[in-house]
Amino acid sequence: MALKAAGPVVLGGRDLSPRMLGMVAALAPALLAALVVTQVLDGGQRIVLDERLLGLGVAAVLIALRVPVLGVVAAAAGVTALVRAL
Amino acid sequence: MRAAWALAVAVAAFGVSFGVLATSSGFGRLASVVMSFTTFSGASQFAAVSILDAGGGVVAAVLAAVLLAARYGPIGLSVAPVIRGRWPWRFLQSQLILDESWAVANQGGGRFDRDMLLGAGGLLGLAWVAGTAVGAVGGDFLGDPESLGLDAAFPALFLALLVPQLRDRRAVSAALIGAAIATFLIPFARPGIPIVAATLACLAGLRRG
Repeated sequence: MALKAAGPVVLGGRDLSPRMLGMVAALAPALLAALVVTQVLDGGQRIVLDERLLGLGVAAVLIALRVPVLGVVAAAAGVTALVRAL
Repeated sequence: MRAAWALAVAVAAFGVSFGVLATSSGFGRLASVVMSFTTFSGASQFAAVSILDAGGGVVAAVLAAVLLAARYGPIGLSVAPVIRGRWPWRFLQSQLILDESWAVANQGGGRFDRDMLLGAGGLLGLAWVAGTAVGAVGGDFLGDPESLGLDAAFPALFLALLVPQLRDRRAVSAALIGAAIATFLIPFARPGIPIVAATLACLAGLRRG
């Protein structure tokens, strides 16, 4: 709770300096990319290549084809479930 | 907002699985639901409960949960400009910041949609707590969320949100560096550390550059 609140409580409502804004702008892709790889590869402090990677591959193709986010997410889950069921 | 509804379904399903896991590792039904409401951080809760279940101590469980939640430091900083009002109000609003609500509210270039952030956060919070309650009470006769592929839904979503942001070279290099650091650290560091390290390293690199 305190961790979530730290930024907004201290800085709340103030606009960031251009330099800070630049850092925050770069933070988003870095954090999103880190979330993607940890959620796909992490198998309890081990790198695991499993069905999730296939689901993510399908998602990447659909994103490139400009399929809406909802479809991408559903397809990734569907493919992963299907391969697991085989 | 459609993305937020899709997420709410996935989050509710994970809430159910958390409820099942927590009660099966000795948490009371009410305690599981209260934890979902107060901690409200799926990854931290899963980590803490699994460590307790595996026989790890309370200290280890709490430490893991806090490390996993450490990413909310930089995340909170990034949305600070849109969280307005007096500080107790900002504190309450900030509890609606989640990976998912933060991601759907992100408009790129360091800007965030406040209504999206808080709306999606509230919706996902309801889904998470309700899901936990269903899992804690209904327990055993529900399917395993992994058999539905839901654990692949989240990385797919984050990827879908990442791609439109890769508009300039700096964004691309930040994403590549972040992914590389996180991947490298997975086998060595405690859960949560790879994500924090990836974001902090980017900040440090930019400050110098």
